Amino acid sequence: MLILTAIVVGIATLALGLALVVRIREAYGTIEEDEILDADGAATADRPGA
Amino acid sequence: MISAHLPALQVVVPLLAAPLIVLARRGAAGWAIATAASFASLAIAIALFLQVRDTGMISYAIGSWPPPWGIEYRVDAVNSFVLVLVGALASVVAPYAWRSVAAEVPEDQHYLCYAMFCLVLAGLLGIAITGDAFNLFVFLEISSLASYVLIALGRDRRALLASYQYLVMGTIGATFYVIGVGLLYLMTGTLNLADLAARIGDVQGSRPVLAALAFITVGVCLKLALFPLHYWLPNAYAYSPSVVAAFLAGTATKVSIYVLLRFYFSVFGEAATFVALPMREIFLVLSLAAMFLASLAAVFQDNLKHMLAYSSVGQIGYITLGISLDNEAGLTGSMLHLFNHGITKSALFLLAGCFVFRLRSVQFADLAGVGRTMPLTTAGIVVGGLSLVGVPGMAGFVTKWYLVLGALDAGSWVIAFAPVVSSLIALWYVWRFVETAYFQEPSAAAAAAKEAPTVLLGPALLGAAACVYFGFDTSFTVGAASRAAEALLAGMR
Repeated sequence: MLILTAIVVGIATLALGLALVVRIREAYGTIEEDEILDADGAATADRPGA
Repeated sequence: MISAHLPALQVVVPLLAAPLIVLARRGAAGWAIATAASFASLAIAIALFLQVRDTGMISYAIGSWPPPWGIEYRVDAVNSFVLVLVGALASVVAPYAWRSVAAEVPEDQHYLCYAMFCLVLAGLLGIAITGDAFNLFVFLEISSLASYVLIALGRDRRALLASYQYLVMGTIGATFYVIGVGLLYLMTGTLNLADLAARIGDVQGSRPVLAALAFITVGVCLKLALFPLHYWLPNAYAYSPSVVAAFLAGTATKVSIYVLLRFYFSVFGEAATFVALPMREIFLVLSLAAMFLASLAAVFQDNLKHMLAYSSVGQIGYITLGISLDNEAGLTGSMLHLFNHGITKSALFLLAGCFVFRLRSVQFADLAGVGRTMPLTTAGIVVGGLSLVGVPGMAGFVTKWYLVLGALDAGSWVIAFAPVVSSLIALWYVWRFVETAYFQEPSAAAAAAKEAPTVLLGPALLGAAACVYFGFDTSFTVGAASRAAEALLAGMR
């Protein structure tokens, strides 16, 4: 039972993650993290600690 | 009798509100249902709080399956306080959401936004109220998944990236938690928290139990954004819609702290965590690092929401500092700060949302001179900021007072000074805002701005007023927090 629940939760998370990837691709035209960070203007203010 | 089923209704009302909103498919209806569900949650939370205060712990067997076999909802002095916090913040944020969501979220997604809001609310209330370790995991995922969606609704495309980062980190956290729970189940054969606490004595100190403690600690600390694990938090709060930031900043991390407290003090027991293992030292170091480094990072932000988010990481350090002190005054301080910081930070994000509404930006460059055109909003942020600093007469001061007392009880002058010094850093970043808003020449946007409409400003200023109110009238907060601290130190008996 518990494992089944955990699997369902895992699938939901995966689905949401992939949906986000699709949206990121739509917004940025790429899914390479480096290019995405570059696209947001050198990413200076966005990186925690920077 | 309906009152006997309040613990179940606490979760069921917002949980059922979510699909109702999706069926309604209208923004306005969605908002009405979400607001009603929030008010109902607050009313139920207060009823439970009063009932627990007068008659002691409530145990509710879901579906009448007796615990430890069925799922038990267990309301005591600790989580009734957390329930009130979550319900109260939802009730303040929901009315505000009406105009703010309209301004920041595309119209066809309004009803989904409100549905997700109800799911987050149900998840957070569920985490707080449940007495079952696995049920807690399910609610953790309900609230997390819904909050990833809410964050991704932000106008800025960076919201998507922030949401994805949070999703990765949050999933790691939740997975670690469930691994820990699995190990505990292996060793004790039970998932009920109270039953776990009773049975764990026989296997205490064995390697799987230690591994479980480690997994649960790291997993939950990821969710509560303890200092080195806070990477996801600043962008998630900065790019999400203002309503979402205000609600999550005040509740999500706070509920995770409750989970940590529950596991450390009620399940594993104080002796196993703090005496047998160097958890006290670990938490002390990480808390101090959060209080100083994250607060310093807040000073150097160019975006008000980023500043508030880093300040959140710093303030979480105060809460964990109280945990590491492991005495009654320290834990009272932690529970108090959980509440006080929750209302303070929510109020600040709500006020920042007023700036977003009028200026479309919270960059300091655009906020220059805004104190002249939006005096109430700016004054509200100053009040909230002073509460972060911990000026006497503000909610933040009460907390720091107890933390200092706790540090002195623990016999450490050095730690007693830490909140004081960290407050100076907080003063520094609050001052940066004051200087920008009052003493700089108005930017073009700020000069043309006027106060946000009352439906936005009202709830936001109510939050700011609460920071002052709870600084003077501490009978509710301190009473509830000290009862919670006592209950935690007494273990789950």
